[in-house]
Formats: sequence, C-alpha cells, structure tokens
Amino acid sequence: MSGLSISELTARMAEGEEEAFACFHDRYFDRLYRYLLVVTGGDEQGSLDVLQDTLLRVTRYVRRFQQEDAFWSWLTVLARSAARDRARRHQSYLKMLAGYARGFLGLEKSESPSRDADAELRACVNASLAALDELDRRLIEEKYFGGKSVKDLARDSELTPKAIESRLLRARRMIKEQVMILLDDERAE
Amino acid sequence: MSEPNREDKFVQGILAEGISDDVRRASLQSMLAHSARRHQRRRLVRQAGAALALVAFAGLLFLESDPPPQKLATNPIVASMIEARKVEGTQIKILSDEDLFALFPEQSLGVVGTDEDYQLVFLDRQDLDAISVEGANPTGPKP
Repeated sequence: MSGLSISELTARMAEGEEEAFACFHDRYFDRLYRYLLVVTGGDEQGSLDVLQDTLLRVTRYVRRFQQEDAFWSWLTVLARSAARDRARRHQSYLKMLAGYARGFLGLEKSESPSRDADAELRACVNASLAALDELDRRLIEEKYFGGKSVKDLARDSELTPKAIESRLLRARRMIKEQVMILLDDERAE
Repeated sequence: MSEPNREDKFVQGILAEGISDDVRRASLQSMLAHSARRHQRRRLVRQAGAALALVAFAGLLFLESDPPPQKLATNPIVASMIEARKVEGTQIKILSDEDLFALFPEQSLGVVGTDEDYQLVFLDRQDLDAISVEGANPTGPKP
C-alpha cells in the first residue's frame, strides 16, 4: 500500500477501503499537523483537534486526484476550513481572520500553501536554534544536520555520551517551545 | 511528495514529539470508524433505493395486469340508467324494457298491451298465485 500513487490511493479511499485510509493517515498525519501548527499559531492541542476534524472531512469528501500537489492543496483547504470552524466555535474568528489578512501565509493565493507553512516553520526553527547557547547549537547542528553520532560528539566535546544525549534532548525541547512561541507571535502581530 | 532534507526531518521530528502513538492510533481508528459508518449509510441508501424501485416496478406490473374496472354495472338500476339514451335537448331518457325492469329489481312486473298502448303491470301475491295455479292447470282456473 505504501507504494501507491496518489491516483490509486485517493481512488481507493473514495471506495472506502480501510487500508487506503490507513496509508493516507500514515503519509499525511504529521504533515497536516505541522501545517496546522502554523495555521493555529503553535496551538498544539488546537492543531490536533483541527487535524482530527480535517481527517473526518477527508473521509467525507475524498475523491480521486491525479497529482500530489492538487491533493495536498485540497487537504490544506479542508484543514483551513476546519480551523476556521473551530475558531468560530471559540469566538476568535476575527482574530484569526486578521492574522490571515496580514498575509501570514498568503494561503488563498499561494500555489503551494505547504511551501509557505514549511518555510515559516524552518524560519522559526532557525531563529530558535540561534537562541540556543553555542554548545547546544553546535551539538544539534552536527547531530541532526551533519549526521554525526552521539559517540563522535562526545569525543569532540569531551563530554560523556549520556551528557550529550541529555543536552540534545533539552535543546530539542527548548527549540520546540521557542517555535510555538514564535508561531503564536507571528499570528498575533 | 519530495524527500525531506535533514533540516526538514529535524523540524518534523521535533514537532512530532508531542504526539504519542496512542493519539495516532485513536485518530486513525476514529477516521476508519467514520468512513465505515459513512459507507454503511451509503450502502443502506442504495439498497433502500433498489428496494423501492423494485416495489414500484412490481406495483406497475400489478396495475397493468389488473382487469379494467367494471362499469357501475353491479347495480342494475345504475347500469340501466347509464345505458339509457337521452332525448336531445331534453332531460327525457328512453328506457328499454330491460332498463325499466331493472328499476324494480325486487318486484314482479310485466309489460302488457299492444305497440300503441301498453302498460306496466305490477303483480301482487294474489296475481302470482293465480298465475302459478293457471300454469299448473292449463285448462284454466276452476269456477
């Protein structure tokens, strides 16, 4: 199932095949979640709620798509629609609209909405990395971008592997928190 | 979907950390259940539609095979009135003998006379007895 083309996958989903839905869930759950994190301004719980609503809408309206880009665009439309409905329910629709109006994502006009959301996330992560202290930043970059092992990092920095793992874990948490704050700030501006 | 680079993977990894496997499983289960319900509803609607079409078809066949409704002929009076011809420009109806007799289904009666002058005669019990006696004895009634 994992090798299915978008055309096959969406056609099978439209037929109500369980395996196709499972495959779709596997492929798109995280991607939609990240997208919604940007849309909701870093609201993790809100993003999960909207994500679930989006997935239910997918089961309701899915049809066959030939191109992945078109399918993803359609998914983002459903996701934004679900986010708007949730925002309405939480009486913050106007605030959200204002956020959109400032062109935070430029979603309605964008040919590929995900590119903007991903770019936004990357910018937030880079800003968060920059806010880390020098050692933590270097460890993160070398481990995750440079592909170095914990053992190599420990040897280079003269720390124990356990200490390296601990620092990496703490740094990742800090980055995540910082990303959420930045996303929220972006939306509130 | 293009392959994410290391930076993207890092971002994805960090953001996915908050979602437990239980949350993912529950999300998938909810999606599958919703989809199953939806398809079951669709199937039921389709089946109900097919059943309705079948019933409608059977109804049509039944109506087609039913003999044409009888005229209001079960009541001879009504039937005779329907059969009666009307004199043009008047309310007068011309009845045949049978039409006339049909107006009095419970009574014994007859038409007697010539073409020029005939009468409708109602027979009472005595007349009937007399006729039946005469019928039994062709020589005629005893003095």
